[in-house]
Amino acid sequence: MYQYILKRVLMMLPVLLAVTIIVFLIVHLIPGDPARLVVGEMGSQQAYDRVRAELGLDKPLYIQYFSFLDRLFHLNLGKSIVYREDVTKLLAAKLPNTLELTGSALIFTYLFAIPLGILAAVKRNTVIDYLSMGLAIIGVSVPSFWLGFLLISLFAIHLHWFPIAGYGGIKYLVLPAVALGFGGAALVARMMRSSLLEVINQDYTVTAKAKGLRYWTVITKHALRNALIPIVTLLGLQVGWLVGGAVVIEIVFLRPGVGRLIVKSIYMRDFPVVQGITLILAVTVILGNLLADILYAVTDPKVRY
Amino acid sequence: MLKFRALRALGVVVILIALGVVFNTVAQGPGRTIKEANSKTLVIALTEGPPTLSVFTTAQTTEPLEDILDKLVSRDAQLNYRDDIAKSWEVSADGLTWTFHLKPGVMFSDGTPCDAAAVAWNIIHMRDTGASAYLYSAVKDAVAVDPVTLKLILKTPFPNMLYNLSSSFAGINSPTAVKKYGKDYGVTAVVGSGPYIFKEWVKGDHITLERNPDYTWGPSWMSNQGPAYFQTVIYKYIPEAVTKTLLLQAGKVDIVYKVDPTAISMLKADQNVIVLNSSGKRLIYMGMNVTKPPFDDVRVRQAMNYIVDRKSITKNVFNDAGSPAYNYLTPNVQPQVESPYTYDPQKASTLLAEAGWTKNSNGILEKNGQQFAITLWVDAITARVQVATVLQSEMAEVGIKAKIQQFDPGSYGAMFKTGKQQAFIRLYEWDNMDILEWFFNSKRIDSGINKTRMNNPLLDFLFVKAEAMPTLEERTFVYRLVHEYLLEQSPWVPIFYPALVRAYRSDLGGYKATLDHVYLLDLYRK
Repeated sequence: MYQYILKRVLMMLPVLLAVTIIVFLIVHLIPGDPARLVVGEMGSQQAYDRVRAELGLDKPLYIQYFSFLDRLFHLNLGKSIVYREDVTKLLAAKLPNTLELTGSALIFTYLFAIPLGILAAVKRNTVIDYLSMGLAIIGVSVPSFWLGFLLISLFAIHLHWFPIAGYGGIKYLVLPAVALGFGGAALVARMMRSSLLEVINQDYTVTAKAKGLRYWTVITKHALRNALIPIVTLLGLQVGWLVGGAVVIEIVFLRPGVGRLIVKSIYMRDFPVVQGITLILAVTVILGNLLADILYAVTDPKVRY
Repeated sequence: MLKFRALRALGVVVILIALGVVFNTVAQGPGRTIKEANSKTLVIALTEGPPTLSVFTTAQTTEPLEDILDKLVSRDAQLNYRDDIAKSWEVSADGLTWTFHLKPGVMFSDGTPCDAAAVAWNIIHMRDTGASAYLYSAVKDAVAVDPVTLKLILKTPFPNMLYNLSSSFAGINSPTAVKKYGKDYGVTAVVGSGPYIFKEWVKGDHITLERNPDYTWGPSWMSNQGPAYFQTVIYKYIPEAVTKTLLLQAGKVDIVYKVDPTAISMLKADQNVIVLNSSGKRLIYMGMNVTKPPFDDVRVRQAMNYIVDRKSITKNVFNDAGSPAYNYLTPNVQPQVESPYTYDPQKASTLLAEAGWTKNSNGILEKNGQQFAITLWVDAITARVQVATVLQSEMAEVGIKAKIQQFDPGSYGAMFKTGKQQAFIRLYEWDNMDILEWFFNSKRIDSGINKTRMNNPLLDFLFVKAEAMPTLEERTFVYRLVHEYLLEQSPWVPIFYPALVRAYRSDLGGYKATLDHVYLLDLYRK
């Protein structure tokens, strides 16, 4: 198991190197000149040349890439072109906000979706099932930003339970976390239901029931463990989706996270920030998948590493 | 008897004084102490944060700088040039020497004097290395005669000087601070002599300013001649229009610059919000590359001007938050000229037929076996994409096939250097006639600023003449010729003037704004 984890961590390195090359090339090859975007269309040539030189953009592309790699080995992501601040410092200020949001959304997703899916499966073809799955279909279909505005309208403007937007504590976190996690929760709930239904009819579950075990014991101790395997697979994917979805939710709820930062940085061709964020997101997604693989071993006795 | 008369006269005087005080209080609102006590923090919502707060590095509008930096000259709401740190000025008969008399005792917030030497340094520094060097390209030298007298010696007469000196980019910075912070100036510090002092910049989120307690040199057209009333001002960057609107309605934001057209009716219905609408200084237009077929034919370009139903776009795309555009200059800017173009697809078809374009069996225009098929570029901003879509369908009605190609705002500007553009939607924001020189002078083709790629010796000649005219009247006269000639040549289809819609909480008093800025000096919470 530990060997497997070590192997996976080592395998991250070439993946990350490939990510740096791809991202570096993409952001440099698409049209758009960060120095011009800083100076402005009407900005003078002298100011433009000065900014280019200050940012090292006057050097050939491969030198820019190797100096980026060199800095990376020293755990230095460079300096933001737009904000003239260390990328690590910028990310240190913004990343916790995004992690807080995606983490809460993930917790909401699973806390809400797993009981809902189990309930729908256990009470299948009843009103509870139809209601839960109806809710799940709405969840999958509704765009997160729109749900965000609906939540603001109901819970912040009419009921005054939560603030409209901003950050600074758990009351600021509830609405964005629900808006972000709801789509994923719907998917997980549907998956949970179908997966549990499949397991409920298998021989070993029937045997457990025949042995005279209580119904909920059969569900929780025997059926659920196998039924959770596809849900764990989803967890790895969910991390990536949530980080992507955070971009929109952070803008709607005015949370200063990396989502807002990356949008602005892409518009402004702020290469070091885009590279830095992509690298960190790549690590997050890879770690999310690794976590899912480890959880496989925990939930599924057949899986051995 | 005498004593009684004296007492009666004294009584009258006392009553008159008392009435005067009451009248003055009513007229001016509550006194400074009350205003200051009520006015703790003001939150202003903007859409995008600036890349830097240094006018020497960026030529983009940066609202907080208007409160941090003073200028030599200000422009009031009626667009008249008024005093700022210069109390008066005069121009020599030959138009080559401008003398400015500065207010005494003006200080930068770092404790250094904002005198004639400091202003001269700013002008020369901007001219030689700054992003808005064009502001002072006519300046040969700036001389501090004494601490309160500044002379600008020009190479040629330049009647537009007051416009440039009052521009958003002409803010005066502390030379000591600019030298001290070097590359970091505008990032970690910016020092001026304005009513507010830079305190904090949380990148991508907000900029905080604190009141300058020593500020007593405000423009004479402001009622408040002392420090501002609000202690703290927060410029909050809120990209999402709905969020901005909701925060204003909830009282979390006090002023919204540039209200989204979709939010106007909702805000107007809110009793706690005041919505102000003015004509603004922006123009949305469709440009055409005059060097590429089919737009190398002036008749085709003129036809395009008859195809567009500007009134319909104003109503249906922009909810009437602005007005249809027929001129190349924005509504407040002279010289306005009479445009011959109205919505007339029939006339467009006639002009296209004259240019050799006839409809084939599929209803598409053709010439020498070539279909009239173009690509229309647009930046991926919802309203502008909607304009492009309307234009596409209006072109289809006369038999033109237009394909829309969207670009992200970061790429869009750079694409024009390639010269591959055929037709494109753009917006400009400016309120001076020299914008025509900026967009149509052939010397700016390679830099991608002259996007229509007009290379016209007559225009170039007129631009040189206009910029060297000794008086504003003569300059305006030459620009009128330019403007009329451009309408005839039709490199653009002017489409829409977006209104400048601002909204603020009704508990604010002393609201005073120009096209560029909401002046904070008079502003207080009731």
